[in-house]
Amino acid sequence: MLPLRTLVLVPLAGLLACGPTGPSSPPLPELAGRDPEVRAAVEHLHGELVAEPGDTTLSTEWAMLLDANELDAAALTAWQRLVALQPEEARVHYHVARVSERRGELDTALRALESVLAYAPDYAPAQARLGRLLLEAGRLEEAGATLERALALEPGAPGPVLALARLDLLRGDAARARARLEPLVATYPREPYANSLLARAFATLGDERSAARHLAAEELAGAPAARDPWQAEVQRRALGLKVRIDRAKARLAAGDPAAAWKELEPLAARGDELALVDTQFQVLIAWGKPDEVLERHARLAPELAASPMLAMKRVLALRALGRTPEAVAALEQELRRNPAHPHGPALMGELLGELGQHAAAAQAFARARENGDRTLGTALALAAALRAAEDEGGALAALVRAAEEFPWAPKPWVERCALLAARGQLAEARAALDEARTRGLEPARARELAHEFGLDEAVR
Amino acid sequence: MRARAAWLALVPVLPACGGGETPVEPTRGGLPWFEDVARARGLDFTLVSGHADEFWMPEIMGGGGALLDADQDGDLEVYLVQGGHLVRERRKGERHRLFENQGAAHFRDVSAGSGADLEAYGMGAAAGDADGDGDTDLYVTHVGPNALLLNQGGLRFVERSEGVAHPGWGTSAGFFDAECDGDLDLFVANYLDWSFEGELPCLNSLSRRDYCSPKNYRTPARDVFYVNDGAGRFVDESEPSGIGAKRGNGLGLAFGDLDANGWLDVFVANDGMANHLWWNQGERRFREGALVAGCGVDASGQEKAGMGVVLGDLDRDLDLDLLVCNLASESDSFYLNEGGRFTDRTALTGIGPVSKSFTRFGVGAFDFDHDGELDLFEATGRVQAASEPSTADVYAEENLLFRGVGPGRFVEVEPRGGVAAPLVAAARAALFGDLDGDGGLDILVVNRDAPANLLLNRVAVRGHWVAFRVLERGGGDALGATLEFTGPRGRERREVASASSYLAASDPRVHLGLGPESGVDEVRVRWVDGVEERFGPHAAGSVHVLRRGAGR
Repeated sequence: MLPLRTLVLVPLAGLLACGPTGPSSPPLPELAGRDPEVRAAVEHLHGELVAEPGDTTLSTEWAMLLDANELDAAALTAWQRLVALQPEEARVHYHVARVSERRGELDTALRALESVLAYAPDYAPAQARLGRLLLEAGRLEEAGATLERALALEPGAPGPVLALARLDLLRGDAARARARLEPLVATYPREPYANSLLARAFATLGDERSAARHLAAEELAGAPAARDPWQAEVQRRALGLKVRIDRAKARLAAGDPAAAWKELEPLAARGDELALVDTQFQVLIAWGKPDEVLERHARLAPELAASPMLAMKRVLALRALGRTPEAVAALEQELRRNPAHPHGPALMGELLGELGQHAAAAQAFARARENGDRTLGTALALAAALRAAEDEGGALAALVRAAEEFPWAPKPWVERCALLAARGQLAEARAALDEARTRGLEPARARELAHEFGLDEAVR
Repeated sequence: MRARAAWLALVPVLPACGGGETPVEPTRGGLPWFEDVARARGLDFTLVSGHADEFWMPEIMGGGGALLDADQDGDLEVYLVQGGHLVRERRKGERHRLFENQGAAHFRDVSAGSGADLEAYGMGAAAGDADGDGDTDLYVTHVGPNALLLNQGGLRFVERSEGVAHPGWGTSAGFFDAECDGDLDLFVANYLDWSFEGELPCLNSLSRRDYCSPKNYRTPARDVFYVNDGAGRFVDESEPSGIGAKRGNGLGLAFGDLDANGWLDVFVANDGMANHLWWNQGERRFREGALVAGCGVDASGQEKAGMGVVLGDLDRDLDLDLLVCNLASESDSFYLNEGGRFTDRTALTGIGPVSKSFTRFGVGAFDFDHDGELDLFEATGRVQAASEPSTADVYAEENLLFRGVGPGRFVEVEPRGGVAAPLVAAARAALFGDLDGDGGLDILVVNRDAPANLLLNRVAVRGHWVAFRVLERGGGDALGATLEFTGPRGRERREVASASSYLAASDPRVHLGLGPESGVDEVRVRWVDGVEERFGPHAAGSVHVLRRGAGR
């Protein structure tokens, strides 16, 4: 049965959108300052909609385009216009809820979600979204019931489990939160917030060791595992430089540079925009086409070519072509120009290491740290370079510093274990491996390392 | 029992404490709580960001200032930190400004010749008696070397920055007695190891160049801890104390004894990273423990963009809670203290859904209407351009005001921000204090590339009030001391504090709304070293001085 509010609102919305003689075409939103690709797409579709204002397919595409490209006011109007045209289409109400939430209009979002669930009570993401909004609004009892319904529709779904665990913690029931979260973490070890919440539950229960272990795991977390097909359908309509760059980088991270390049192709005419060129170079290097980076770099306008980011990509291209001495020379030139470069010295350390100049590499890594490069990778690279330069004392000191700076990370302890074992200091090596294990080093990997270093007795 | 005035009838009927289910209607269509009188009262100040074609990160983060009784005449002077231009050659003579309060919040610019009118790209300020001579000194953070300005009396300052001129990008700073030895030490939050060369071409949602997220740079900075040797000279103890062991994108800062062990702890809100809670272990040693304590990330496990901070007893259970402001799409975080561990209870405060539509910086929890409940003001302004801006300034937003309706519970006051006509600007610091001396707490808001707002308290029906200036033997404000008293809502606690909010030093006087009560019978002061004294009774309507050694 439909909620009374919906029954009243739907015909009203219909009158507003359609008027007495049928639907009118929507106004063209303000597009000044928008990305040219977005502007062109919106203007084109608006032209079509003016000709066919009652076409629900066109109207849906219109709403999706505005929504995906964050023209929120116009998108909300477009979705509300569709409510009038298709009052029983649950996903239209859902998009009203999503955009309203984005605009901070919580009451409108909650009402729209009620409508969604009146027509599509089985759409789990809507139940989960409603539960989360109720939780944020402090309506805990309703939130709990709604989230349980979401979970029943999609057992084990991360979103509702996480929200229910938040609710448990809010009510002071850390044991229950722990019971909910442990299976989730086992299934989705890279879910970004599950480990953090589980750490909170353990800390509340007084188990700081387990809390620390899950805080360490949280640092390795990946993308959220939530699934919302209706939202994804809209997001596919996002256009513009930033969106395409983000998508290209995601493709690149997934190991598909060809697909990344394809994402960038519609922007080919905008070759004077630094962010685009930088991403193109990144993709070409990953794609095994560093020679093309050098060619393109040589053709750039001088002021663009002088960009520190592109200069660094040129260095990487030279490196990928095996022209490491030239890469070093180019990087030296860049570092002379920008002595405070935050990432250049670390790259110099890597290049010098490849050339077997380990002492100089260690100096470069140390300079990188002085310049503010605080990554674990650089801290470990410094230790590795010192070790390769046969400065074991320096390497150990660097690993101690890395362990202090990254107290949750097992890696500095693993490296320390390896170094100590190589020096024959087996008891200390065993202790370091134990420290790594308390910081989340997987037991199987710990066993392999113990075997490799002759420390089997220590980890049994 | 004190007499209750007819005012009692105006005190709102409150829901039961602790629950989250009782709906409380927003304060809609009411009268404004504040009136902006900045220009009319001589407080003419625009923070110049220097933004031109580039998007250099410091341009979007400033600025702040301090409220202090610089000339010791009983009212508050205003010190505002200027930006200018990051490239020295492009500066146009912009300097920090000192405004003398000539009474009742009428101001005169006394910057020239004051010694406080430094020319540097500024961020925030701390206020406290650094040299123990009884007057209030200033510490100013910059993008570049910070400065310590010692008060010489007569609205004159002299720079004595040797040893404390940290060259990084300082943000919030504060004086606190870390060692309980009677002098004020200094903590400076740093934001990024930033340089022109390390800038990045970030894009906003419109695919246009805009300011980056601090996470893009991956260069969080170390905070700095200076120990006072008792004679106003400071020694950098960051490394031996442990403070230097961790890096963060530090913005907001507050001090308080959060685990009730007698030592003042330090909370730093980090932008895009887990917050830091530095547990003071005595003997100049600190241990960072925010994640385990439950105030590093929010209830969902998310590292938020921490900006301004409130530290105080927000739920009236006599311990210190935390409220951290965050970026748009992230709600505020209200960390409830439960015996030194914190639970994110934002969902029960009523501020979550409203706050997450804005980017909040300056923040303060004070009883603006004197009904005995702490209210909440948040200064807001974006850090990336609005996709659908409503004003020429694409970073501008309206500020937020919430009325306290119970322990740790709030409803938004309308008109939005508590002002008759919306003040839409890219607000940063909010400084709190009774600037016009009428007993109501006023607010000074610093806006990026727009005039500052002086919001005088105009709440139509205010309850009674009383305020305390709490002084150490040497005459300086007893920062970190704790007051306990019985107010209209029962037993309560307040801190003598200046550093909180964002880039700000506020009025250190403790200000209490009394509702219908005509005074407080007794105030128990616990000084920083743990010694307790009792003062009172105190009549409403006055600022009383509680000087160490003069109590019972």
